[in-house]
Amino acid sequence: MHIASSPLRAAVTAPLPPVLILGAAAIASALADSVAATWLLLGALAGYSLAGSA
Amino acid sequence: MLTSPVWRERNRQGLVLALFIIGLLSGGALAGGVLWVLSGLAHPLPAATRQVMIVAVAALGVLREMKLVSIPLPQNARQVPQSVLQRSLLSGGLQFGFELGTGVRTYVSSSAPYVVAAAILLTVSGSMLVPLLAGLGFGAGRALTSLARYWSRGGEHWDQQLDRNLKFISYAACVVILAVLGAMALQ
Repeated sequence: MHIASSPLRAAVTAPLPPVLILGAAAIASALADSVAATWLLLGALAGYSLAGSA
Repeated sequence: MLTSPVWRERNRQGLVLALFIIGLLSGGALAGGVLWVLSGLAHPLPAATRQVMIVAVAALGVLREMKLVSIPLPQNARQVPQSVLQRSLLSGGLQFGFELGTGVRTYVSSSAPYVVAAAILLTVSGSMLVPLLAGLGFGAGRALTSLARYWSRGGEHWDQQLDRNLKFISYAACVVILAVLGAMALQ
């Protein structure tokens, strides 16, 4: 039986939010023409997409 | 195993996780460096051609995630052996992370890493900054999984949530990467 230490912790650390945040940040940095940030975030998206494999 | 709920020594667990993340970032940086070296092979291609190829590969990645095309991609179809961690948790965590961070040591279950790698190869640049940042980002992205699970203290519940959302995560990553690379090509 799972008991969340707190609902806020569970919401913030759930698997889904990071990909949404990274995606939004990547789009925003591309629109802002920030090359360095964009590639860093593209790499992070690629890495996070492998969440299920090790 | 790195965030096993049976562990009670959270400080030690945190240290192993920290070394694992350092390994991920190091492996990712190395992969970025290798891609930078190989990107010189694409130098003879005109810039416009390379931009089209980048977007085409990104689009193929999305179609592959949607199962509309079947493209077998190279991967080292095996997991990092448990013996790496059994010899020594600290050095094993570092090694485990490094091998995963390179992206060539184990299963690659998403098209996104291939798309970003292809984009780096085709973005010929004299500077190593872009490939290095992308590689570090890759390592950081992989680290996010472990960090989120560790901080959630949710264990199996978190794993179940991941299973439910994994397809969407992979698909969303590919779609965003396509959108961003497409926007960069138009600039």
